[in-house]
Amino acid sequence: MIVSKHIRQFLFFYGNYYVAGLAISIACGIAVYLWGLPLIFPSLLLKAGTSVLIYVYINVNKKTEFHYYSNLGYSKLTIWCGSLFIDLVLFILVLLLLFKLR
Amino acid sequence: MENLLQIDSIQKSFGERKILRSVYLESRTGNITALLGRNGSGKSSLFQIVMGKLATEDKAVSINGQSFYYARHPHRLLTFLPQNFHIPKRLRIIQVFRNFGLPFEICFKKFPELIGRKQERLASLSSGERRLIEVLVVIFTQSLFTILDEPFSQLMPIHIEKIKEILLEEKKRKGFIITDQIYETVMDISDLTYLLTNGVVKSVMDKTELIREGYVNRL
Repeated sequence: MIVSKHIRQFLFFYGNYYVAGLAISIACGIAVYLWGLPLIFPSLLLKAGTSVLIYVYINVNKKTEFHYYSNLGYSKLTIWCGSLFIDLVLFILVLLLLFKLR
Repeated sequence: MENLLQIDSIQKSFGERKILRSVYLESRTGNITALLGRNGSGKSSLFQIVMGKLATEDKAVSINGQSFYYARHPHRLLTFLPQNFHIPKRLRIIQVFRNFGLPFEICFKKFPELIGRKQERLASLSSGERRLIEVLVVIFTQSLFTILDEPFSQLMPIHIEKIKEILLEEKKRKGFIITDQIYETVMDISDLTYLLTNGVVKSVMDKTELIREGYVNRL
């Protein structure tokens, strides 16, 4: 019950940037599908770099929303870690899926 | 049980300009503490510092003598309503209350016109309605103390009166610190009033002191 509450909040926060996060994951997945394993490391670098950009963008544009999460009991660090973990899991799943389809 | 929130030794400078000089404020369960001050006097910065959102040279915030910053669940001790909209507008009204574990019908007892609209998203509400939802959520959320930064801004007079009644009722279980430019409204319900001027907090006993301090021209 409590775990599902946490996941719900992380997913909701992830909703702020899921389009960008998934689009980059799929682009990396397509690159790995087309060119194979040598593209894994550049894909990881691209994902990390774009995640930093997303982090900065959200921190600037959704600054006041962190008070909402704080009142719910989630620090900025917690809410970011939770949502980036979801993004990372989806990224790995997309890579694995497209690599298997290759 | 009576709880005590102490905000002490707060200092803050922006460049050469020192906006807060060793500020001290306190609040107790059952009390509404008002903090008045001109625009730009540092009230919102003070609250941001208390909540740990703004870095500062020196600060000490304690609840019942224990540092707030080392609390395991700080949100159960202190909740905060910022000046600007802070609840994501993608949420439905009912979801907001569910997320905080608040009984919707009780919170909206005084606002029956909104009960039928609980499935609406905050984005579809007017600014005043959205502000009202945010104010209600923060007031009713379980915590020992609540800081409200400009809670009456954008609210219509009838809603302000109802929020005042709710605050007087809710102060039985927690302490409030409120700042708002509608000083008469705030002073009507406050037990303690402070004025922040030139970076220093002064206790205000009656409204005439506000004239002496140059906060208002006449009453």
